[in-house]
Amino acid sequence: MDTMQMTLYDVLRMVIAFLLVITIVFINALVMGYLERKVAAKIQRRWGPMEVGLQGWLQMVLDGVKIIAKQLIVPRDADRVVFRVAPLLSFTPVVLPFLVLPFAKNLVGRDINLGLIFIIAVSSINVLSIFVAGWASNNKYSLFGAVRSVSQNIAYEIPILLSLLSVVLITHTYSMQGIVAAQGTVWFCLVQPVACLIYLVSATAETNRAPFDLPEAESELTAGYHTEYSGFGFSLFMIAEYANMFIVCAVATVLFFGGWHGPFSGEYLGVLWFLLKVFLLMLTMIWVRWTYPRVRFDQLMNLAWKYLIPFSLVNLLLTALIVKCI
Amino acid sequence: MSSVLAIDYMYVMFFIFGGLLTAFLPFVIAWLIRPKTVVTNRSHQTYECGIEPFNQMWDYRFGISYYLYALIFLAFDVDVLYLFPVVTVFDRVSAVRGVSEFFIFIGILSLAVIYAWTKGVFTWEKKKA
Amino acid sequence: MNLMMEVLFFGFVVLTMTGALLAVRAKILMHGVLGLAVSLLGVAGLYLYLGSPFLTLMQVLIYVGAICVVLVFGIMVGYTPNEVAEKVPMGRNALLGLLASGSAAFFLMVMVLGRTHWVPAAHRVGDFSIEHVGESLLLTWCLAFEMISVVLLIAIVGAIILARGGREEGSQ
Repeated sequence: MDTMQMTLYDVLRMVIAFLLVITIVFINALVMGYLERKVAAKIQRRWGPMEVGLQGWLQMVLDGVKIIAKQLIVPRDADRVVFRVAPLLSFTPVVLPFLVLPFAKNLVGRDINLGLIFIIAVSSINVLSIFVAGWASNNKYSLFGAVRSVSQNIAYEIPILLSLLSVVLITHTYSMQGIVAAQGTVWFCLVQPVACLIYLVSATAETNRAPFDLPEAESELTAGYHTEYSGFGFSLFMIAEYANMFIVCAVATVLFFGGWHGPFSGEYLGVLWFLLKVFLLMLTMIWVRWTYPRVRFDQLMNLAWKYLIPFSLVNLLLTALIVKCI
Repeated sequence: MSSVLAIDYMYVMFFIFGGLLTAFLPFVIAWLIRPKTVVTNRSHQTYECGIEPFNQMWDYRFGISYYLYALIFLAFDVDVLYLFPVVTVFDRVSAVRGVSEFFIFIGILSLAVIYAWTKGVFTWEKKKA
Repeated sequence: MNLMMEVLFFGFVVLTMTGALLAVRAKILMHGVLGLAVSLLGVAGLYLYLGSPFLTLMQVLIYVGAICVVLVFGIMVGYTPNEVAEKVPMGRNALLGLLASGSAAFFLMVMVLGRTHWVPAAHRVGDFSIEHVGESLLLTWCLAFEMISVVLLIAIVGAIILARGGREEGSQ
């Protein structure tokens, strides 16, 4: 081993990066929770939260306070230890991908060489933790939701991986900053429109959002894998879900929509462009959620295996051919 | 282990422990300020739309389709694993060789989907009541 | 910082061992799978000390994210926890057997360890970067690379035949 020195500067940078990431995770959950309720209300011609603060913007903060003060109930039949550990397991993996997200040219937690694979690998732990939560509850709704969620997640992971590979065929790097830097002139959503579409559809399914929200379909499964969770256990799942949304949208931004590139994006100002793109994508996801009806389970699985995977395989082959021909 | 990798590693470890701690601390607060309400016999019952829960969920079994999907997924995932390193160096090999190797690999991989499709793994039979 | 790395190394060793013990001693099958997942995560951490972050991430992606999920589905398809594993009593015979096999393994290890010429990992670390792996797959070992997909195809076909054969028999 060669000399390994971690200066005080490095340690400080690490701690600050972590604090910023945690802040983003929590604020993202607040903002998204509010936006989701408000946009849903507007689409359904209601008012949504109006009572606390102007246009009810304090509602989510108060909900947060209320939810911490709730009793933590562990069902009698549940697997007690596993039931308590599951929310922690679901929260921790969603913090990690933020480490490698490039917010601006000089604003990234740590530009790991294999950043993209890191995000994929860490998100795959999330699947298991959702299952653990559903299983430990020993509730029929929870287990159905968990099993659906897992099989949906693994079905849509393949198209995601394949569409990422077609982008990496062009960039030849897994570093998030490298991928953003490769889109200085033209965004990859124009170079790889098929991969972009496939990624967006699969990402919606990965995050268990409507029209693919079978794991937590309110009308048939009450709440899916977190039916039995009360208080902060539930809210950790919610935060993790919104953070997951942020992550898939951020990855889409990095891969297909030019990351922090935009007019006047200097060393740091690119963060505004990045957040703008991410939130536009997330708003689109909310819009889709309240517009389309839920699909049936066999339709959901078949969409992945019969359409998305063959299309992404063909797309990958064509990309390989074209990259070599030019 | 190189120095860059070591620092990457430190960052990741710090984030893992920090994430666990951040998730855990609010539980401590919640435990401290939780309401001490009366716990009735049914407070700790599992939820089942208002009726008494019957049987343990663990006693039920799921259809084989889930398992089949999982198996196909596993093989695909391992396949993609080998594509990860290959695509990074795709520009370094000659065109004919690279493209033909890639086509053979993906071609054989696609046979799996075609086989499963023709064998009807993706068709869901209606349950015969 | 080197001290930190050492501490984390032993942390991963402990994690691997704990997970393995959980997997073996679990009375409920699902706990066994969870123990296995913990153990595999520990192994993933150990790979990092061999200088291959790619292998670490693949260990997490494939073993924790895929194989454990397959095991979980396997359990959901055909297992009920009513069949709780019986606890094997630790009689005197078991203790003696443990002692005998343990000492035999110990002496064998001592003999083997004494004769092996050990090279510290740091001295034989090659280039384990992802580019190097990719180049050797595409150029040096291209036949092996193609055979991998054939092997996996056979695995998928075999899995489908086995699983579906079982169902057709059941429905008749």
